[in-house]
Amino acid sequence: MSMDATSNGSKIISRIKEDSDLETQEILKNAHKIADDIISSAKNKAKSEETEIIEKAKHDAELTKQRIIANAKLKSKKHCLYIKEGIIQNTFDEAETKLGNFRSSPKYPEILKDIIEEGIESINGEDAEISVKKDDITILTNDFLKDLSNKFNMNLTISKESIRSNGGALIRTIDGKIVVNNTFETRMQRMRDHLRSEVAKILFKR
Amino acid sequence: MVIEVLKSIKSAEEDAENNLKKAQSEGDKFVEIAKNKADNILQKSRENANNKARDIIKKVEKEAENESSSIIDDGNKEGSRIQDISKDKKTKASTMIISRITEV
Repeated sequence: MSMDATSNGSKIISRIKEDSDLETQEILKNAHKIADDIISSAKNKAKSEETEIIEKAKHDAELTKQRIIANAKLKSKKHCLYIKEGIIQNTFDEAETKLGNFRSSPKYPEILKDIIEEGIESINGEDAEISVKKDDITILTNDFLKDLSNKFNMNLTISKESIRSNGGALIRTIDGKIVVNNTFETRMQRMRDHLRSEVAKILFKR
Repeated sequence: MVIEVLKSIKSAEEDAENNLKKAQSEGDKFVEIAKNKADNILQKSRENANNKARDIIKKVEKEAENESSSIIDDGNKEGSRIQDISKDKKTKASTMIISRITEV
């Protein structure tokens, strides 16, 4: 009986040890597997994050590049426009200077008369007075005034007040309600936008 | 005799229990080490990726700056060309202005 007990006891102890060894191995094996999975997952995550960071950097860099180049193009365009604008302005300044001397041209008296007639035409036959530079009054002869008055069926007088201008005339209805400013300076102001594109064509056409 | 056997079995059970605890503890340590290693991998990878990203941005910015300088140079050349071609045409343009203002 005691021999049997010893033998069975040994078997049980061996079994306990074997089971324990197996379970220990299983625990360590599982732990290794979990550790390997953690590392593998970290590597995958690292790779995916790296790809994402680099793709974002490429995208951001491309946007920055486009912005820098767009700014440079804009700056370059503005520079050229600034130069063109300066040249156009110089041209108008030059024209204004030439206009200052235009009154000494032999064509001026006829041009002044035409300008006055154009102004009168636009006030629809109302009685009016004409203002010109003091030196231009002699150009407006009585015959000229009479012809115009007859043509437009109105009374036309020369104003006692002269104008300060490079040339041209100011026509005003007697009641003062309509004023046609046909001085050279005002004509230039009125036509400037339209003239600007023509000037640009002449100046910058290749 | 039986008591001795029972004691031995009890002792074997205690040993087994201890071994299991030891294995569990060792396994936990492995996992903990792996977690730290994983954190390091991620951290280094992020640093590396951020460095690469900075290099990419720096390189592209340099390219853009070069291209930008070239565009600005071209703009300056174009500006000079505009000045050159318009120089001889200014008189023609101002004469045209005068003629438009004085013609009715």
